[in-house]
Amino acid sequence: MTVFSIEIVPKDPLWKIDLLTYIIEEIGFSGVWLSEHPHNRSSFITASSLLKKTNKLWTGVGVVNPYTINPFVIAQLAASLTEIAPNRIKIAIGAGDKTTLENIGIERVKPLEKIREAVTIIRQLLTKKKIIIDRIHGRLDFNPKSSVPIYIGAQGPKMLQLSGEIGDGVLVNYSNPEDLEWAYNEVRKGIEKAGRSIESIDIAAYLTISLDLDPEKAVKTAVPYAAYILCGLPEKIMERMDVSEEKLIKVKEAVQKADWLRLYEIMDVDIVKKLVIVGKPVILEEKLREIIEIGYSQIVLGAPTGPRILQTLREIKKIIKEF
Amino acid sequence: MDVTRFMEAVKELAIEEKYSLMEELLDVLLSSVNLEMVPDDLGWRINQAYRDGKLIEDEFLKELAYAVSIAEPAKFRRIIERLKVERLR
Repeated sequence: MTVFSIEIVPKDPLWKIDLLTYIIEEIGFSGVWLSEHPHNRSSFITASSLLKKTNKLWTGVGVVNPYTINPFVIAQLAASLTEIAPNRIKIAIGAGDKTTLENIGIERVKPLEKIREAVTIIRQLLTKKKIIIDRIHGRLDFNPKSSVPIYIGAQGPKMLQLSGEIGDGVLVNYSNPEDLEWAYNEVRKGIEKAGRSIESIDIAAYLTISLDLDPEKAVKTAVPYAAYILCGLPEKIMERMDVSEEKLIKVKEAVQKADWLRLYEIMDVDIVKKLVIVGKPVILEEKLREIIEIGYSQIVLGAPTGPRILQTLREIKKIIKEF
Repeated sequence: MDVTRFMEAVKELAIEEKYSLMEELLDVLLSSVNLEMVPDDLGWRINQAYRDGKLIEDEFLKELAYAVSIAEPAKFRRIIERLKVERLR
């Protein structure tokens, strides 16, 4: 059975995130993913607040970046959250965006090794309370109150394969069924390499959606998100996008300057539609059928969701009842 | 001033209309990108009133309207204009 969760970006005041989470739990979602970005509120601290006030909803923190937060500290934070809400915590780690890291003075070197090492450290600390590998050794002096599944946020082929090899779950950050099918098969390669079963890992499609009864408004809301995704696409997917080098440079410049008006001028609707599930709510139902058919076990409905958040959530509620 | 005009218009509404207006205002507020402008204590009062099922009450509806008038003044004025037109019908 497919699990449905939703992304909340902790860029808004806590009173809003708290209320939105209450409504999301009322609607019947299984969980929320709190995205982590150095520019926004801390997802771990936001999670500690939300978990105290929810009853059934699990909270995923991620994608947390081991370049910005030491894996030892990630394990410490995750273990602390289990005390608030045992069995309702998930974490996702990922190597993040090269440009964002460089902007805050961090060099993104050997991302595959970094993620493999981070998963090892976090998992050992959470299960055995101690870690001794190479130069790293240490321990937690308290007991985590439950296990914490470790997901990997992945886009490129090697990271997708690594996720299949060592992750408890994977967050696949595409929205187009064609891209998602390719990514799913990459994850499977890793699963097969490790001799695991497909059921041993939660493969989540982390969709970027923008829905509204007025499709033009939905597209407008989606444009900055589509532009951001476009700038970070791996080569394999970029080949299918049919975007000129000249256009890509213009988009990157506008994203860098956060010049949304410029983006509205230069981003074609066709590109937006390839990267985001965008339009009237009914389009989500069509896409979900294709994505679930591929084999994804979790659907994360990611930001921006739509220009009118409550209206969109009510529409989504009707759609996910069908699955 | 706008909030006072809004509350006067609300008095004329049937309970179903009032409920739908409350949902619309909450949607505008939660969809706003200007929430840093709304005082936190006001935001938390709205949050609690929704959880308690009291956001429809005049005291809290007024607070919700005030928050929307801060975060989305143009949208709030359009809602008031629409209410005025509906009252004239």
